[in-house]
Amino acid sequence: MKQIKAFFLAVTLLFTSYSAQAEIVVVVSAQSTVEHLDKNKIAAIFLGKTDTFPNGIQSVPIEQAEGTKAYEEFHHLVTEKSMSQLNAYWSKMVFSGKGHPSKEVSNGAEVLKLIAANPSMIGYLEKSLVDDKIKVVFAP
Amino acid sequence: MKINHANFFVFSILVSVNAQAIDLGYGFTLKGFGTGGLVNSSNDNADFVANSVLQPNGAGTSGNPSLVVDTKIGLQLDYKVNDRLSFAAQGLSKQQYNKSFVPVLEWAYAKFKLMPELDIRVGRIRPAIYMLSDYLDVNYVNPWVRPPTEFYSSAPISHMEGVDFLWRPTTGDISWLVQPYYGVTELGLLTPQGVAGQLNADHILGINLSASYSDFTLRFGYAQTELTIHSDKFSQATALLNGICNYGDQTACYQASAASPLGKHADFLSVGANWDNGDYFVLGEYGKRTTKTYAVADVTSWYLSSGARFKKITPYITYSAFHNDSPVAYGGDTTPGLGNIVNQITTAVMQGNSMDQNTLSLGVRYDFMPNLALKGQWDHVQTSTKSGIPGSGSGLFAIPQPDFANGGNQVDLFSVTLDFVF
Repeated sequence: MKQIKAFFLAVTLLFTSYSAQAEIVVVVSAQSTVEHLDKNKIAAIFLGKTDTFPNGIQSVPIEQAEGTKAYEEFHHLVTEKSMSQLNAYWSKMVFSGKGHPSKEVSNGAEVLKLIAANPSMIGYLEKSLVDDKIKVVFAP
Repeated sequence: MKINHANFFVFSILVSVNAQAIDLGYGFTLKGFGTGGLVNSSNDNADFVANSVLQPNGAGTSGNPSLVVDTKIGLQLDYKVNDRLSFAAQGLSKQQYNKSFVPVLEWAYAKFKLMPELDIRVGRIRPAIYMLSDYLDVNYVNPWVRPPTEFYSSAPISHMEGVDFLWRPTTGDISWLVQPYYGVTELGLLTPQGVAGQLNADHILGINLSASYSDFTLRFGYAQTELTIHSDKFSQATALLNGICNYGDQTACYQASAASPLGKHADFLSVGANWDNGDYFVLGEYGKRTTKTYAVADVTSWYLSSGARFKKITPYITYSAFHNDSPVAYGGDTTPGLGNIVNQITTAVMQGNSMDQNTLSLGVRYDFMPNLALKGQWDHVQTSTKSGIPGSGSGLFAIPQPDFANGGNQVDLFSVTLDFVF
């Protein structure tokens, strides 16, 4: 009986933590012409593989600080890379002169402030922070 | 005192790796990478080296374990002027052909964005000859202790003075990289019997093409150059052959020009593929080198590697092979008396080349901190002679003793390395 209880507890925890992970959304400025993006395109923008949105307009990704919960959730769900893999990836880009990590800000409120004012920027933040100056283009 | 200095060194490395690059302000950024490594070889009759034309000694005859095979440190200074123009310089300190650890400038270029998807770089750059050329020395970004020796010894031109274009268009879900390059270089290297020489590669002309779709990347490369190797060994050999030619031995005349490494065409063609879904990876490359001189053999080399990531632990397996496609002995001159000398000299030039070798590697990478990776690797290296011809069994080893060069060998290596980036 104890074991069954433990099992259900584990399952419940699994789902709780999973839904807790989907707290972030990917956003652009409300003035942007971009309406929706798929996961692969967002990953390509944040990994510096492309610097344009599908409509040809320049895209500038904004990261949250490494080690923040939002950073880990975003990369776990969208680029699907761990911290070590991201480090290795950016080291490849930097030491071969092919690219540099994106601009980084310290939290979701900073992301909101920047993106609201810049139609070319794209970022991610906690769902609860979304207001009418920005719009959600992808919800993991 | 010595111990105190060593402690301080380790301490400063640990402090600096906790930082993500060093922003020096005014657009300057300092980044670095490095490896500290030990290799132990089971065979004392030759030295295992990471690259047989660039490293004079390693683990084996020169002692065990060896610190000099994998240990290196690199520093890169970037200066961003604006969104279109930037400069980068990278210095790398590792064991060179003359045993010196004096840093060498590997990159020093100006990069300019011509169009949103097109960059041009001018200065000292690494020609993109292999799939991993750009970061061959940054061991942290690669899964293994060192890139497979057999494949990455095939075209050891690490940098050149020149220009390249990086064009990165996207079609649908496929990201392309089209990278043509042109340049010249002059570098020190080891010629037969471990003698220091100089290599000039003129008119290096090449292209690097890659296409990425989701977790999959396909890559094609071609590079050609006009090669000149300045080495006493080769100039003595061609002088002797030319001398015999003057006595009327026509074969010697032909062999003198075939052995000469002055201004000879050489090219390297390669294909590679990489699949990496985050949890598992498979990658491999296949290359073919052809040249117009006996001094540098035609070569076929390849490797295949796979691994799985279990959180911080990444076990991997690699098989790599190097095959010398050129003859390694010559007996075609039948002129009485002189012919025998021509045959011996030609054979000596041919045997100055790297010989057949393959390696099976098993290793584990442990990502115990975000910027540090600890790796352990076992390599089983096998060298073999060409149809039992004496002198053709030394594989890619340095300082082979006669016993080693005359037969096939089985060598086991154990390596431990600590890689870092900041």
